[in-house]
Amino acid sequence: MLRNIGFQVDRGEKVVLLGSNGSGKTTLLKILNGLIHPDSGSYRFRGKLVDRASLRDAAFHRAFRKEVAFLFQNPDSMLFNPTVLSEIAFGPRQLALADPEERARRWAETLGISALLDRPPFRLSTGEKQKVCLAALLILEPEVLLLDEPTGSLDPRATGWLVDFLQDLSVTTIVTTHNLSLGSELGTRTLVLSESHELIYDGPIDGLLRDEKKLIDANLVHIHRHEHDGMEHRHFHAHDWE
Amino acid sequence: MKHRAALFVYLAAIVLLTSIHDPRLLAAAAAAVALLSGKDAPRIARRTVRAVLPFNAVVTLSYLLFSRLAGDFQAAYIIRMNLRVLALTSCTFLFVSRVDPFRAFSFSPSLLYLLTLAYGQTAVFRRLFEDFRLAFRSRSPARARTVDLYRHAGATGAYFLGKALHDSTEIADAMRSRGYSRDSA
Repeated sequence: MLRNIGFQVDRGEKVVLLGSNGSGKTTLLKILNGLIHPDSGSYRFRGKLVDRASLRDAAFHRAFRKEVAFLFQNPDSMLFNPTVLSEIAFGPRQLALADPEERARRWAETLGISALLDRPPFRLSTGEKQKVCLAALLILEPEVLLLDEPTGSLDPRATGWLVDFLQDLSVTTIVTTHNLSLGSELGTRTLVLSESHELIYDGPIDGLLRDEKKLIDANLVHIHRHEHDGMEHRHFHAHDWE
Repeated sequence: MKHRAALFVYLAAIVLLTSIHDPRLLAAAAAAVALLSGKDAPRIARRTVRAVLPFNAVVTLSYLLFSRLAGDFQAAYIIRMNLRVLALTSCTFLFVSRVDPFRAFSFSPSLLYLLTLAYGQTAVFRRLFEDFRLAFRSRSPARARTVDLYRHAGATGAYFLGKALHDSTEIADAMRSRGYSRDSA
């Protein structure tokens, strides 16, 4: 259960949410996406309370869902349309926007997946599925993009592409990861959740990297025996590509 | 010991409930389960109704339609079917709310292995299913069209079927690797 969580994110900020497995990163993203709600405390988007009651208001629900997009860790959970084209066009079709398929083609081109448009999404690789999901979210031009461990199942090439893509994206992003090295690539501000599900750091990543105690508390580094020039010793470090 | 005894009582109750045909006895059995549920009765009743309603509604309506068309409607048959499903389901929910299945099956290592595998898979599938449901909600700024609901249900079903097949192969391989079964593979 998340405890003592309090922060504000300004428009355009690139935030990295760090924490070990089970620290509550996904739960926090789900709260920020209005999918689940805290038992106590409150969450506001543009000053308006986001809770069950406010999301029952169709106009607010529509605006909130359009503005706050969520890329789930498992892209399969987001894909259900028969073709990539219809998958990407789903959001604009729901909002009755003009030319949903033309918009979808444009976003497919932006993400380099035009060749996949007629294929069923479930037949794609994980990296391709993730690009389809991103196109399906970004087509609505959201103000906030929440990404849950987006590099978790990507190979190094796809990870490199995603990091570049997110850096160039001009929307507010909140990205979760337990990969300490990727932290500085994915954002300028770092939030850290401890294993006891509390927010224990909010600031630039450089400050976090200098704070060994916080890194250990958050289980973001580990210690084990290894050798340098024939000398065996132990110190804390991260093994991020696991 | 208590859990193991409860398991055998439950199994006997299931056999009994499937062999009773008098609707009055089935109704009495459902009432007895409600009484045994004590303060949990409303919660178990809600879970039971939620679980059986879609299936029983489809079967009941289909039977009403086709038996009327065939001119062979028997009220006792459909009442018996609904009461039996109700009694069996509420009995199962009462059992799972009171009994620790791991202690109940502790007398058989094989059944315990099977239960552990099933339990682990259920937990994983439940979490995943919740993600599918939330992802659909997250992606839907407006009320979903019926065709989108069908597509989502179809895609979810296909994913879980594929995952179940994949996982069962993996689990079987892992168990063979750990020497669980002797085979020629």
